[in-house]
Amino acid sequence: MKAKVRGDNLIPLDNSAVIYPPTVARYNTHVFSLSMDLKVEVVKERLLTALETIIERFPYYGVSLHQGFFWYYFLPNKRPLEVYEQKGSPCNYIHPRKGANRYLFKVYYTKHRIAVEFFHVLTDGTGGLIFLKSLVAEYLRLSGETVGEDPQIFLADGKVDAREKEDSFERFYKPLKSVFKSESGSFHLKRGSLTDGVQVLSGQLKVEELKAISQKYGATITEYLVSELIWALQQLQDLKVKKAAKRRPIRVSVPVNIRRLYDSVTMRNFSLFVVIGIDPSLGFWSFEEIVEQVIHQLRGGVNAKALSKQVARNVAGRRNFLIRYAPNALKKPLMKLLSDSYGDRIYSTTFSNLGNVSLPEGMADIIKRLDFYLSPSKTNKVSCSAIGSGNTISLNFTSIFAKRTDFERIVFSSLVDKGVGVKLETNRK
Amino acid sequence: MAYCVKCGVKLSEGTTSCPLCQTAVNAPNDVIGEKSFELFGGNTEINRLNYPLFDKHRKGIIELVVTFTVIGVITLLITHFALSSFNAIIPIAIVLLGSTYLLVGLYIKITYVKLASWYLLITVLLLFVIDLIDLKISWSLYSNSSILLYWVVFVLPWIFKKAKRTIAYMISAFAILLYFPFIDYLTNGSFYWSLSIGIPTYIVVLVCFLLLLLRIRFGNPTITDGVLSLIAISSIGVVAGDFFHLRSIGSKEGISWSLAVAIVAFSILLFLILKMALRQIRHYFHNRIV
Repeated sequence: MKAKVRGDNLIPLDNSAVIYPPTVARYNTHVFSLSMDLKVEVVKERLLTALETIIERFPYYGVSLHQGFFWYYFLPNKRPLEVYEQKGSPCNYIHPRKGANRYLFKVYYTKHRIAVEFFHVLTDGTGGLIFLKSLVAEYLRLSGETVGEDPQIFLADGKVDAREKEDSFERFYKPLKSVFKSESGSFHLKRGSLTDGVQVLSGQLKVEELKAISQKYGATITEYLVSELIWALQQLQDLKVKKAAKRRPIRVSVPVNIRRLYDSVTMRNFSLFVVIGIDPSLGFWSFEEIVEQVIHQLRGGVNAKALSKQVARNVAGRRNFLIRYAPNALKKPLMKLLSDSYGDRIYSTTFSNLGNVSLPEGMADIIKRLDFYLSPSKTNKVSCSAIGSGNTISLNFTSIFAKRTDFERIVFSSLVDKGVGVKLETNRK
Repeated sequence: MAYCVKCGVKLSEGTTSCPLCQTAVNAPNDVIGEKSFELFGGNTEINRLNYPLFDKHRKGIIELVVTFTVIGVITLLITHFALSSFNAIIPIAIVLLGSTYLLVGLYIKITYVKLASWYLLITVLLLFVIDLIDLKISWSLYSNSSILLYWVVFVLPWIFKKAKRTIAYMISAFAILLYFPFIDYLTNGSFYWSLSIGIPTYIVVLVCFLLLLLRIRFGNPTITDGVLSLIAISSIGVVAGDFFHLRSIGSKEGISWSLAVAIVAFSILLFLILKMALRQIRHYFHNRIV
């Protein structure tokens, strides 16, 4: 009887999440962090009350991860919630059993900050941002503030839309032929001692300045920043590899929120990656040429038809009879091989831009800054993310290099050279 | 709030060096300002226990090895029960020890001492188990004592700190000394050749080695000198072996078949001495004060 109840409550992982639990590693936590700095002091007890209230609106996040014979799956988690003091570094590993009372996200606080860290198995950046905004809004309401309406703020007593729980990959899946195509390995930053805590270099940039320089090149802010990353990596590779023929492709993986493309409101993972790059073995690329390539590849890649191949790839593996009924113990090494062949190895770094976040009345005056951090990995030791609010953009580099900062230095120096002021903060000692 | 003169970035209040290029900020204290904002409060507190013990590659390979081992053991067990003439105990032990070869490399911290010690230990166990097939320990004593000697000579010195490594070399020299009588006794049941030929020859070679070490320590020899010295030592060892063999059988000859080798050793030694003397003479004439 007990087993039957367990089976009824069982929630399968979405199609892009299945890759995360088997590929978690010491330097690859698959955790992203979102935070809001407030002008007022954060009260721990009130934050916990806000969390306990708001989680009712997000039942799909109140789950624990379990390993079945064939697949991983979620079960509803009714254990008490906790909030944790943030120390040292973001994107720390969340242990599925010992991490946070079996929850797969952690809410952190400091004197002026509320942060949430999600294990990617639950949701992507968009889902995480909606959760954080709703949590902070609830916290402010409990503090006696009046927070205006916003489509990205869910009210605690609001009705849960059934579509929010769906695995949209399943809904939009179209069978396609030969979706598994491996690409050559790309250039990676390798040399340098590693550290356990994620090292952050956070640059505060003015939106107008960044917009002006992007427009000068006819690009959006995302396209311009991706070009800066490729430009920096090209210079680093040129220093290391003298023969042009031996230079590897430089590719940046850009996660794209595809909810709008596919008309989905799911709160689970529903983003895909567009991999943009240049081939330096063909010669040295000027910055203008890189921007041109990025614009061409990014705009060409972000459309439903081009991305349908990735949707098919995510779903096809799971639908395969042999894979579906293979024991998890055998499936896990296979997942690792797939992750290596189609994941980290083929790109040099990741850049995720959550865009300019709109904040409603009552919240915009209190929020000082927003931050978004991606966990780096053993292969791609530096990741980059951006998030904007008001007239400021936080450009955050997360790295597992203990001391090496040449990549970040080239990017920030290049921005300064082009007239974009950068205010720098770090947790490096 | 200051700027980095090299990168051009604005640094947060209280920052005294640029986090990008480590250039020190040379500005008055009121420009640098006081730290009012910390990106992440407190010290880095990472709960290492919360990290998975192994990265994804290691975990994947470990799982594969364990899976194949389990499949192998199950197959052997089924065969054991299906065929009454087949005893699966020793094959299972061999499969398990074989898989530990792979697992050890994945589980332990990769250092020469640890890896070599573990692999030698597993090899000793594996040879011992294979030897047990006929329920009698025979040839594995030879191989295992040789492995032990290898460990003492080539692994033990690296367990000692560099300053105390001489003690390890002395233990190694002593272990080789014991190895000869052990093998001799194992083969013949008595000390047949080790005391009369093996140990004296070894002592001659050891003395020659010590002389070479002294030459290296105080004489600054070239690589050619070193190589030639090694050839000379080997030749002297061969000649010594022949000499002590003739003594043990009561022959009146000094040396027999090793005469050619003795000529080689003598020629090399003569060449080395002449070269050394020539160098000293040249040194004297080059540096004399006229």
